[in-house]
Amino acid sequence: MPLISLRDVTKSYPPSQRGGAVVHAVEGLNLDIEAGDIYGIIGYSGAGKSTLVRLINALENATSGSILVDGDEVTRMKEGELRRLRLGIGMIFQQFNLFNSKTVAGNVAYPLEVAKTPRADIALRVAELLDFVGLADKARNYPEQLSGGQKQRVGIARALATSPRILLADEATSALDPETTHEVLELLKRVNTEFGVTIVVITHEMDVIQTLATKVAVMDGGRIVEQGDVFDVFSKPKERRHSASCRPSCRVFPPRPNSSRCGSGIRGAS
Amino acid sequence: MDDLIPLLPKLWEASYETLYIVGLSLIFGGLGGLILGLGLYTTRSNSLFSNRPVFGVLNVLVNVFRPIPFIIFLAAAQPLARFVTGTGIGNTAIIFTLSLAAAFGISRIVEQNLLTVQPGVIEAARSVGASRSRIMLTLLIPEALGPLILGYTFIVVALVDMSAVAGYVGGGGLGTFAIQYGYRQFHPVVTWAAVLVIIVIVQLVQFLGNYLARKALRR
Ligand SMILES: Nc1ncnc2c1ncn2[C@@H]1O[C@H](COP(=O)(O)OP(=O)(O)OP(=O)(O)O)[C@@H](O)[C@H]1O
Ligand SMILES: [Mg+2]
Repeated sequence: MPLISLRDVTKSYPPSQRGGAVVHAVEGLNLDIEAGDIYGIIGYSGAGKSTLVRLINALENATSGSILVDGDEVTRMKEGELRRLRLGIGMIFQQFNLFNSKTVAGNVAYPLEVAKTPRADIALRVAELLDFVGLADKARNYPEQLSGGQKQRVGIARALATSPRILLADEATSALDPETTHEVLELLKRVNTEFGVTIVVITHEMDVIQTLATKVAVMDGGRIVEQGDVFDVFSKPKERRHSASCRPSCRVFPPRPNSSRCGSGIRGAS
Repeated sequence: MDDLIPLLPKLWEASYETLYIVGLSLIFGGLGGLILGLGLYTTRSNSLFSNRPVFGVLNVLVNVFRPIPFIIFLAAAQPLARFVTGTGIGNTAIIFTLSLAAAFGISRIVEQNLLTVQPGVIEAARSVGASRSRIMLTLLIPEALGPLILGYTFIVVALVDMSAVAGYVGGGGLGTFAIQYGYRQFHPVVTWAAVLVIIVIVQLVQFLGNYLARKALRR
């Protein structure tokens, strides 16, 4: 049984002005993610990627459909159950979203305090995690004293604090330069291999999928238009509508009007 | 100067009374304003406890009471002060009314400063399973602490200002002193002495507020 399973999931937002149209951020979406996968989700800005991950840890409530995480129906959970669910799902963000009022150690300790972990255990776990992400010497620093890459490492340590089985990464490297991106991706790989954490990576950068993911889904207009093993999708795209100048990786994207973006994916969209 | 010296004991007493009125009003009004401000912040749409009707009621309540000039509010709320505190005059009555008026003003300052906290930070806390009330108490307030301290500092200065009309309901303090012994007795020096003490109080409060805010903001 897949660890995460979405069936016919729709998320609609009411129109922003009176008389406007309802926005279907995610529409009739089906997705299965097996335990141990690093599952990449790629697509243009506005495709519904962020909405999709936020449905998995129920930061957003689905309008309809079924979302199973580890066999439990997320859409029917009450506030208390949701809190327990979220302790088992870590999340990292494009803008890191660290707590500026807390030190690095305080940031990593926060989920453990939420989980009511005994104090002595918290200290040990924080030290262990900071060691894992290579920031043992920064424990007493505050977020504003760190570089972007270091901030994201703290984000990763915080997300892993309660030993979740799933890690959701929403554009986790989009605010980082290529070199730092590479370091963070390597770290995420280790999270997967050393701890067996299933990772869902949202990105609009093809490189990220190619270095990190084992499976990939291409999203457009709230739906998944193509999915499979990274190798298969990139070498045998279903929709062969590419220009001669395009590298193979470009072909997986449904062409857009006035869009001739190419190169390594769709950088620039965000 | 000769007018002032015999009045010095009265000046010190008035200074003490101003600090007493302002201090207690800050505690009660500050707490009330914090709760009201948290209510405004958390019930607005897309916030922790978003609730349109509650937000609407709070919002109107604050909008109605906040702009009333304090001296009028003081007179209008006298029956309420008498009902709650048992007296409509003196320092107790003015502390009650000042706390009430300040709470409405403070609630907006609290709301504004809480809104400076990045929504992503709240979302990160939600994503680790923190309950909404935990987020409010252990994250929201610490994240906004620096600007909140500056906001409260601003309010203390406003309280000193508002407390000066205490004399109208038989309260004491520097305002009463300046009017009673300075203005009415044609002793400008006495009035200026009260002004000087107020300037010193305000400077000290501002200095302390800036210092604490700098500590909270680490810069
Ligand atoms: N809270 C909201 N209210 C209304 N519409 C929303 C809301 N959140 C998202 N949407 C809409 O849903 C669609 C999908 O948004 P989403 O953020 O999931 O896209 P995305 O693929 O993550 O894009 P990006 O790459 O820019 O982050 C967009 O059209 C967006 O405008
Ligand atoms: Mg997004």
